[in-house]
Amino acid sequence: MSIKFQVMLKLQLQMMRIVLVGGLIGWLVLVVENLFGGSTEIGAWSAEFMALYIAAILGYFATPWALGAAFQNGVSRQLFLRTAAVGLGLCAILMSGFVTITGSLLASDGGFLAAMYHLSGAGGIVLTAVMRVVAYLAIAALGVAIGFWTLPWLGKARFAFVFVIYGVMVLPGIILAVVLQAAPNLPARSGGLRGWLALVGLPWHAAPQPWRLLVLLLVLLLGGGALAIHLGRHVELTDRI
Amino acid sequence: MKFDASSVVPLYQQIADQFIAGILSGAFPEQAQIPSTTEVAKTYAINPATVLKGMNVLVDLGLIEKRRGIGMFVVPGAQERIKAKRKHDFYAERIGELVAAAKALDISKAELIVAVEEGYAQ
Amino acid sequence: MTMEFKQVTRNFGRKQVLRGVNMTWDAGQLYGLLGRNGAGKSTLMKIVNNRLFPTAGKVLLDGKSVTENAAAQNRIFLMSAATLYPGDSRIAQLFTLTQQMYGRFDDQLAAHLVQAFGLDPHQRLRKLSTGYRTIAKLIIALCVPCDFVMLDEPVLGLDANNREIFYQELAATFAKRPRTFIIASHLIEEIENLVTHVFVLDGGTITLDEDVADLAVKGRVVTGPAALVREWLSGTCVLRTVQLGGMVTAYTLDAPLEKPLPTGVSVDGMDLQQLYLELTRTGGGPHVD
Repeated sequence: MSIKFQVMLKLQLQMMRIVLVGGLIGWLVLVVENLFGGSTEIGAWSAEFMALYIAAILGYFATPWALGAAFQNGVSRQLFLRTAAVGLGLCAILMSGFVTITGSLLASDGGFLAAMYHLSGAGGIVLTAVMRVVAYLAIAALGVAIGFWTLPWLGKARFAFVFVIYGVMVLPGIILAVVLQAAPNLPARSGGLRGWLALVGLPWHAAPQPWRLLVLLLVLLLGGGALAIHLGRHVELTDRI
Repeated sequence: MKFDASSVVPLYQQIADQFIAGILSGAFPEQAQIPSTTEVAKTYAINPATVLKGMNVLVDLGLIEKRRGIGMFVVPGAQERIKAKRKHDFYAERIGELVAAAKALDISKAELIVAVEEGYAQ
Repeated sequence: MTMEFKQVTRNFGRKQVLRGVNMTWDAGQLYGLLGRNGAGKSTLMKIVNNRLFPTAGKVLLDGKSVTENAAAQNRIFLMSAATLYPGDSRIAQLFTLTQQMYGRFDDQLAAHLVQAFGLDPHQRLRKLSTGYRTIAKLIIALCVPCDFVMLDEPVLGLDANNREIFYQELAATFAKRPRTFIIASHLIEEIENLVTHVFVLDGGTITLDEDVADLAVKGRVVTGPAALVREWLSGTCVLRTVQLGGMVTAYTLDAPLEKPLPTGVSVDGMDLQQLYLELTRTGGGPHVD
């Protein structure tokens, strides 16, 4: 590891830290709230989505933030992308560990993911942790790609866009959670709902299918990563950053 | 020292002229060290290359000399040489100009001589 | 050691900002890059520093493209109006960061400059005033080990005293360690004794590429009665004439100094600022009388 790599990685992590610390504090508040208010499916869902949302912001905001410091110091895009990938990887692992450990407080069976997929025991915990790492990385990579793509936009427009993403990401999940709460047996009868569940990677047969979700997330990670690298190679620094 | 950017005299020549005037006035005595290129460049925020070019005019005229590793020094007899050069220039240029200007104003030779004498008397 | 620009073009959407810039920067020179607001000076410098890509054309450092060239970028520094460092860093930390990124940093000079400007190195960048933020960035720019240092509006927000300190320190460090500085500034009269060569960027191309000494010799302001001035200047290219009653003032780069000057007509020199104004004035343009 060259010094330049180490210094750039430190800068990336410095920027990511701002998002990560803020996000995880919010996440903890949600967990504590659930503990005292009695954990619900919706609460668990929200917590899971919130972690994904932090990952998206890490990619969308925190990664392009570091671009200024990189170009000010003659860092090439190649080095920037490598340190961003390593930084996001470290953050994803950290977040996954955090969510997996504190998530088990929400429900005795290890949080929403574990409950949904009937993942139990040490193997189940490891699998949910891995699934989360891959999910965060995939979402963060998409965030980076969108972050690079929207970089020439005005600051306010970029900020507003976050809420659009939030809406797109969170709303279907919340609606789904509400529907499932109201009518647990609906997926068995409704074809549309089954399709919807498949879209967000949830099992819609009686038998849990965690591997299907993992494969879906891996495809998302590869696609998002490739897109982020493609856009990152051509990213420019306007004064709007 | 003062430099005029809108002058038709190039900046390096202005620097040389100011040093020559300084040697003539005794501000830079003979045998004494004169400020370094860097000092002059820094003090007046002038490109060091331009300052050096100005100094080299003095070196070429034999008024200052480089002493390796120490700096530039005023050559003995520099003041006299400048004075002699100025005298020569005075006769070669100023007198001609003065007479031409007097002629343009219809001032006679006798009138001009009287004026010069009055000038000396003051 | 040279930086060569070959037909560098840059579009922003449909707007052509640079339309084929050609020039060469040599080692150990102090250049002035002049141009009106929006002429593309910053865009050009950002292309050299890889913050932007050229739409077409190349920037070559010793024959190799600077684009995504880590080795070349290590020898190039751009101090721009935008402050791109993390805002919560302390000034001393930025010095360390720069040292780690570029391999070397002139600590001695930095310590001297911090004192000369009266900057507190333990202060956070975000908490500094506009002027001192510029000073912090300037100190870094003067202490990096780069061969080509571009200063885009280096005295933005600096008061007259601090501007003088900067020009003096620039002259001093340049004398001690010659490297190439490219200064883009609108305060032309303040840099005209520092730069030895100027480039004027106008309409997306380099319209003037000359030594300041040559320009000083060429630029003339001719004043006198209209008929006499016109006759004396007949056949020469005049940048602009201003008529006030019977008196005319003409600005030219090739006054026929060999011709005897008619009585009543005066010829004066032109400073760089005036010359630049005449060259970049919109409308009119050079004409032959």
